[in-house]
Amino acid sequence: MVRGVSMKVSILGVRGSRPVSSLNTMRYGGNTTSFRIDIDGLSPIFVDGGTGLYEEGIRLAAQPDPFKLNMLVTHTHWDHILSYPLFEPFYRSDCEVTFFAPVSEKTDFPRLIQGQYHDRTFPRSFDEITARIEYRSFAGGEKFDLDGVSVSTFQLNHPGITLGWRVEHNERAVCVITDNAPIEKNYLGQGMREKAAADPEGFEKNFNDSLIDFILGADLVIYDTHFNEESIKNRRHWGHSTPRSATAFALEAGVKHLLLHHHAPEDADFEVEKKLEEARSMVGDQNLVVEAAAEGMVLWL
Amino acid sequence: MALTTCFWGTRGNVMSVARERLIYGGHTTCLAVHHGEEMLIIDAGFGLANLAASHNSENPASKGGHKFNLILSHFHWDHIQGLSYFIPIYFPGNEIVIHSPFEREVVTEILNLLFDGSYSPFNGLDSLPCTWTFRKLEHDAEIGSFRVDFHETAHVGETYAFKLATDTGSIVVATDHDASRTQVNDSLVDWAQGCDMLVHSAMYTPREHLQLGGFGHSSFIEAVRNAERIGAAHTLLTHHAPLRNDGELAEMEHNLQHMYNTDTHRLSFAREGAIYRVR
Repeated sequence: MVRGVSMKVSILGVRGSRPVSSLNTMRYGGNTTSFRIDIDGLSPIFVDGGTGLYEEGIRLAAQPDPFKLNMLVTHTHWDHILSYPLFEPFYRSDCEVTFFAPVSEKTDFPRLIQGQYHDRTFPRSFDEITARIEYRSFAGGEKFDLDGVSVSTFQLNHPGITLGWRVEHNERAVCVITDNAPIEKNYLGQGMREKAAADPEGFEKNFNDSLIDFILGADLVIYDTHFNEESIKNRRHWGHSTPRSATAFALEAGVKHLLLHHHAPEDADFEVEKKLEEARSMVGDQNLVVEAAAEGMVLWL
Repeated sequence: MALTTCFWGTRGNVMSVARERLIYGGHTTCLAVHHGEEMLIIDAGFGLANLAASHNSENPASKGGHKFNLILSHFHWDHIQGLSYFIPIYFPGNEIVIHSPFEREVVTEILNLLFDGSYSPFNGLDSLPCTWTFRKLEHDAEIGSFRVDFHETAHVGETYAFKLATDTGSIVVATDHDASRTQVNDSLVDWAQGCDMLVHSAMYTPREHLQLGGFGHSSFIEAVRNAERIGAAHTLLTHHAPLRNDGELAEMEHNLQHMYNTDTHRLSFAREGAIYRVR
């Protein structure tokens, strides 16, 4: 690692819902969510297994020496997990993988990975995985130490159980907030409606304050901005945010660098740029750098 | 009446996104066969989402009251993963008819897995506003003006090729098939005789095919041999390997065309977005 750098964050997939391939989405990229975080002396940390992870798997499996990987998972919707069965390191017996995934009410995470290997839906069987895989489950609000790196979670407002992740090391922090919708009486996360029933305003204030706390002072926040103020109308139940909402949270939390992410599949490059302009116009001369996540981007913290 | 096919997805295994793969395309398998105003869709890879863009929510044709016929060859993810992004499923009054040689219970089990609440924001097939109809395909079935027949292919797990015949002409679609499996292949070749267009799996170089043990797909050479044996006027090779770039595909296509094409018989590598006239 370069001197003075604590973390390197690589953007492998930026697209929400489904991957897209067309000439007018190439500047930002068409693969679905995946990031890589490198920290000196620690095995790579990956966040999510969208199609952005596929080629990375081939690169990783090409290395001759045994290796370890840490895989954080925000949630198990297809666009965030569909590359896992195609991830080459799983088929290497000298590879060790630890999954850090949200708890699930319906079934546990290993069973959801196994579900991708249904014998009619995938040509390889789950038993062909030769890598040593461990699974650890987390609920929102949990914190743990990963070989000296501090990792914490926060339950986001998205159908099912979705975790935001904060990875912190040497006073540098990166947060991944995807997928997430503003609450505004729109309770999507598992258990949120029930919790909000008695005191909706209190619940919403608490959620917002906790989210600000969670990303407080982060050097980099990658945030779901699938929608703009127009496209979110009638689709609030889909569970995604807008640049306006993302920027408001980032400013409030004193974030240094905001990366707009989870670009809608129908967004051509110029539409992503419009979102970026909107976010930047809110920032004005305040101290926040805003960019739109593009595949291949590498950020040094 | 013209019989044409449009490839909405040509890529095998996994969606492939790169500037250098745009010509042959990055979306997973989906093609539409058009006979006059009628359309039959074959397979529901991410290409189906691409097709759906022409039936998007701003398009009045998507607002309900429309019927879409979809034929499924098998259920590997790259052949069904686009279904949840097919815009017409979000509008009440639209009917999606799914035809396949599989029992209804098999189809609904897999599609309910695709639409499961843990993997998607839905809660099974029935949570969508459209109407789903499942038809177990019989041999020589009629779907509109098409006569549809099927034959098993040599793939990993039960998989089918389809023959779509009309008054205008006929097309055989075998996207996932390993032609080196002699027994099934000979029978498939016999069955496909006389078609005007052949769509055939061709994922590997002979060396890759040997190294990977086939995995249910043909090498370019075996695909060309099948093209010769079946004798369609136009053969389209598809299910391109995920990381094969346009340059490499174009060069192989050129070499194979040089070897194969005559005044009456030609072959091409299927390109996403391209429309081919069957007859």
